[in-house]
Amino acid sequence: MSRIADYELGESLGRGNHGRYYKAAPPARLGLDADVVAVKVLDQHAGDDEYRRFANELKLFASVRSPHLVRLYDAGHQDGILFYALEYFPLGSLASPARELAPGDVLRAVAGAARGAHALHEVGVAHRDIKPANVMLIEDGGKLSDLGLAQVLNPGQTVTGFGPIGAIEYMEPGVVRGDPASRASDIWALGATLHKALAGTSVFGDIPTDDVLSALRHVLNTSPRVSPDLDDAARALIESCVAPAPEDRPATAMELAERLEVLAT
Amino acid sequence: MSLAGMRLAPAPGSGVVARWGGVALAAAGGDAEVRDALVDLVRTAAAEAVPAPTVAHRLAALITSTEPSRLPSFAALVAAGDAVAVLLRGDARLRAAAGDDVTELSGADRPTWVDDYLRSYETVAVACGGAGIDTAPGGWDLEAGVVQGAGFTLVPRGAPAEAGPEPEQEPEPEPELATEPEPEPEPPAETEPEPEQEPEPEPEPEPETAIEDVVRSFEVVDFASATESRSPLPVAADATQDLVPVGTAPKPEEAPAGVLVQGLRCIRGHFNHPRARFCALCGISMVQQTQVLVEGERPPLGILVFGDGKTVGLAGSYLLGRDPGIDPAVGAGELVALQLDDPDQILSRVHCEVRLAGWDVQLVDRNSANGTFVREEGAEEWRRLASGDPATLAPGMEARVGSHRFVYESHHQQS
Repeated sequence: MSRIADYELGESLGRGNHGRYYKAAPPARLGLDADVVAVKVLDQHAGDDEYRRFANELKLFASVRSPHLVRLYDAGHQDGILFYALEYFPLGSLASPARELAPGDVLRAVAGAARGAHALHEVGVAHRDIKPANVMLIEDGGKLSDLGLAQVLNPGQTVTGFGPIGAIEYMEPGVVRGDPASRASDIWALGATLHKALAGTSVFGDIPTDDVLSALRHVLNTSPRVSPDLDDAARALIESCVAPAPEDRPATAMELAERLEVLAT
Repeated sequence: MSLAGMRLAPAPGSGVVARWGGVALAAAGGDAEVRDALVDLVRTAAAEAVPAPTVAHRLAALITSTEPSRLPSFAALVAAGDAVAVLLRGDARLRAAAGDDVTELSGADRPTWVDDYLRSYETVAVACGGAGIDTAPGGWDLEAGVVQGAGFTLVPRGAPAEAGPEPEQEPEPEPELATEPEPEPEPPAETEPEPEQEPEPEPEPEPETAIEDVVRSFEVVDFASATESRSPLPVAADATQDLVPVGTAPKPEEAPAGVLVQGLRCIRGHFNHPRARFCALCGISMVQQTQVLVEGERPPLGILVFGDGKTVGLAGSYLLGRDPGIDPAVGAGELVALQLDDPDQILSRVHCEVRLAGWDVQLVDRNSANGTFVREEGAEEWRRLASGDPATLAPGMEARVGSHRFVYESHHQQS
């Protein structure tokens, strides 16, 4: 893959749940100041219906003007291959930060992502794919990137089978089973993301990586456990986020963001 | 000439050569473990008849997730209609010949990998680990499996042993081009039907241009155009607030389109299977509770996990097949279409249905030509379902349709 539409694709930035990211120069038609963007090319071939749903979802995302959401510059398809162009972050993401992060940096980054998620929730969009790789780092915080499009493209499908097996550790088990994504499921994912970034481990412990079925059986039959190494305040907050019953979690992502910001100071 | 119709003659060497169906691989050097992973990836892709672009993505994913020093050099070929998708990494080299026209590719040309489609070829030879391209292949034919080697040559079946890239041979040069243009609707490839003024039987100039042509047509989303607006997502409320006694309609303002079934609520109000001993949501014991059945919205009943990792949540009923959208029940919104890849045309357009009935998940064969099969967890034998006869799935049960398999998993019905 070296081109898509009028993007010349450069270095691969890694895989997402249903596609691959590349660094690319933005085409002149966008009139951007940025000289680098991140382009995501989806694995799945799309027909007209899929393209319409994809376009709708991304238009909604783009319509939300939040300083805590990554800018979406462009989206389209070429011969049934879907792509979109996003703001590029030289500092990387929580999954692969370009420099070492102190716990306070992690808390501020997740707080930023939670504010971004809240902005989406307020326009009726659930993110569905919050994980460390989608929390992009900026100087003093973080922004939420991308959207989970698996369900949008394939109604009913909760795990695409394309991404790394480990990505299911950030999915609320109810969503894996087919419950609709919600504020509460995104809040769950924010908690699991924070846990991974702070403790370095999954709330599900060691997930078998040999096949998807064992990994799914593990996450669907294991109660999330927060690492005892975390300090009490962070532990209590993460425990509330990954509580099995949605009504036990912070009611909104904004409430979570505010609690994280208090912890970070 | 499709890849599957060619004879594969392995070339000697210390690596591995593998082939299943429309997928062929040669790999040398690197970690044995990574080489095994590569062979597994290819074997799985062939078994599931995964489309060529997806195989290329999976290979690329394996490359990028592995330390370069541990990676073998390898060449992978995947049939894509009459074309062949090629991915080369490391010192792997490829030489494809069609008459006088020779294409040579080398993985060493790029720091990551080289990939492309071959559209015009009569013979294809690959070599890795520093071995030379085998121009005089032996008469063997690896039809399926793994052998030791460092490369291979693909020649049309029936061609003489060292047919090699001799231009004289030309097994069937004309029909080759005619069948060439597969899914791509690019006009340049199809100059065939045009009664223009060029009768030269020049069989090519497009292995390179084909990809460039595609680049010209694309469509972008107009972000400035109006978007639908949605209301904010609801905030999770205490489930005990909306307890509904049997026979009462749900509150009109929530009116979920869900199906109502009878079940038990845990002390916190979460709706459960009538025989549940623990709440499926919060885990609280339900044994002590008064077992009064109430009506509630049916929760998702479990998941179907496919061999490639694709997972489907059973919040509703599904229709599976090669083209299930043709069934009127899909248009009417009663069933969700789950279209499955089927390059070998084993599936019927409408093949089987996964039907939610009360708290049960049933599998129903819909008069498919090649059948729907199930087996219990741990069992060897597959059982073919009688068409139209619903079989209730138990958690752990596996089903097979065409080249696809899926396992049903559920956390409900702990009776």
